[in-house]
Amino acid sequence: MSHPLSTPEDGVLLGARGIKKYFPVRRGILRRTVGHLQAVDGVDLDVHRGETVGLVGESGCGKSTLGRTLLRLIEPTAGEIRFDGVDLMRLRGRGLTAMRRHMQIVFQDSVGSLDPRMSVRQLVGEGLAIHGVSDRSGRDRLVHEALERVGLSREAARRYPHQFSGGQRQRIGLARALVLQPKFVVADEPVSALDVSIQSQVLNLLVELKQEFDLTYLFVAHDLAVVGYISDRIAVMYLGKIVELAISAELFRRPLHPYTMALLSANPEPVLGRKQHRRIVLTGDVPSPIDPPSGCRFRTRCPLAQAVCAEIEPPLQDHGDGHFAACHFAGTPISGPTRPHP
Amino acid sequence: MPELLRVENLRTGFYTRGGLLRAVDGVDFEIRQGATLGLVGESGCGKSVTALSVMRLVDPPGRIETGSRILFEDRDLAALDERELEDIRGNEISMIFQEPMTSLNPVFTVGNQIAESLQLHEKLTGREALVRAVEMMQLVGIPSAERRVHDYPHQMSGGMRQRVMIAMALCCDPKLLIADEPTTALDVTVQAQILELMKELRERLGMSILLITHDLGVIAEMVDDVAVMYAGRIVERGPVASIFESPQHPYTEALLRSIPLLGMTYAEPLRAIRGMVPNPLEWPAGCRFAPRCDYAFDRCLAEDPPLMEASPQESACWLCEQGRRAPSPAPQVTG
Repeated sequence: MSHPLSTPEDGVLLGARGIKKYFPVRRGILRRTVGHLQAVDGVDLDVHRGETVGLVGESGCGKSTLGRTLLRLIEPTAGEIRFDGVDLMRLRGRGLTAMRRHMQIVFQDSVGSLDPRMSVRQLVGEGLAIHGVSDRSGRDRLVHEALERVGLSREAARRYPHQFSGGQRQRIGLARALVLQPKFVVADEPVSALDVSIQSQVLNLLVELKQEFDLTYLFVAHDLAVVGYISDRIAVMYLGKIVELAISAELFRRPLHPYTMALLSANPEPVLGRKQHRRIVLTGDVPSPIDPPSGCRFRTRCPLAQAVCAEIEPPLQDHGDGHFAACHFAGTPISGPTRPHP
Repeated sequence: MPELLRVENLRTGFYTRGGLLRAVDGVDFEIRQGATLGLVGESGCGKSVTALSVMRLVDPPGRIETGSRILFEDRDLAALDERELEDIRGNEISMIFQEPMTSLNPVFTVGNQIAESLQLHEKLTGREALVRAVEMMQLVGIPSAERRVHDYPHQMSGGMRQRVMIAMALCCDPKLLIADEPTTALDVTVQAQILELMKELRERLGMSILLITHDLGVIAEMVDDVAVMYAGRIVERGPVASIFESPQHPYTEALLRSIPLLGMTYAEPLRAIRGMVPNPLEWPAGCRFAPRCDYAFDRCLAEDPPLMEASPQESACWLCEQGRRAPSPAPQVTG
């Protein structure tokens, strides 16, 4: 995927190349920088108009940082981002603010992301006011419409976040993003904090809204089944890098990277006797992103690792039909120390 | 297999300013020796309060109501005093929690914390206890245990801390392990490690487990029997295979169908459960699930259904008054 940034005619809404985000690690009273936490380390990603790209990985893999960096809510350390034909890295001040209208985010933590002192009307209408949309009564009308669309009543506008349940607060977060009629929404673990019965309500709503408003989503989550349900394509991240990228069904049918294979086999499914394969239990923990392993970052836990993996970092390569994987032994079945799964 | 624990009509209430919150409202279940019972439900259904009640760890304003019976072997834990309970807790019944960081003491080494209960219950000396602590850490698969026994909790990863918690819980060879969401805070690959470890230890030590979780995937993988909780009650219980194959209570059925499975796509909408869990300060009259139930009829809104035989399960639903209800088609899964 090292081809140059595409133009809007390709149907690419958001194109990112070589995205890096390093956070300095400071120690001592002088707060000297003693190292860098490589949260995102060289990611290329295209998101096409109308598609949902899922970003999946375990905690600390950099998926949330990547999502925020792509919106420039966090400044990338390096990289290019092109959104709707515009070079996002060149925008400053007002130009960037104006562009933000088209790029919204929904957070996991609906308690932390909604100011408890603001009424729902203020919360949902805040973006409209910032972007100078309509007058006060016009904005109120838009807020009511957005609330009703996400399944809340217009009376909700007068109330405060703490008066709502988790699922309802997530709907407020959605209304807040949607009221500006964005083109692109980053959904950062939007259903992870919800109970299963509420989770499916919100997932259905996300799908309906996408179709109704021609949205494009970047859906960040750790739950494979949830990501697989909502996404057209899935990118799997490990320690700051994309290790595999494919159409969802293809990724589940034919995972090529050993990490994806392990993730799939570790996922406990609420079905008895469905798993015929052997479970791959990875040993050890994810290494620190401050001092990641040389070569392939997964090699310290990889059942397929050879000497070459420590020396040469495998590039993200196309294995046909847009199925990318970053592994020297992509597609090799894992037969190592695994336990049979009942 | 003989019974190890039998809970009868357990009711635990919290006397709050807003009124009496009946968190657990008449729960019955039993655990056989060497078996694993999964207690599953969504947040606020009372599953964790049930676990705390069995350990008699409910603090005021919470109270286990009179008439509740917690029969462990031949003793009624609900009637024991604190001194007698101390002999049982951490010795015959142990518990592990969701977040090992908050259950471990940050100012003591993990070795000290494992050794503590050995000194208390097994009357070992400090040195003997530390040797046993290392053995326990090896048992739960902590690499270089001799060195890591001197680590403080913050020096360990989440997965390793949960292993320490398990080592602590198992060091007195308990008959019953209560595990409250033991893998919920962990990443999926680490969760897989901990679940494998629990299965292995269960086989080796022959203990019973009460596993509390919201995750039906973990239930499918770990347990022999399931009790499904909703709004402070058990609405269905029975062997895990029949619960998953043909759930008899509409809530169980709706829960199983609402979850996206690997391979499902947005082309087919999820069958969400409408509405929300009722407020525990004012549980609805009649069946508590009726306002959200697709099968509800007049009687459900008026009369509270008890657990009824729907062999091999039991289901608290009026549709099961004559036994099992007519089978409904299984959800479509592709891929």
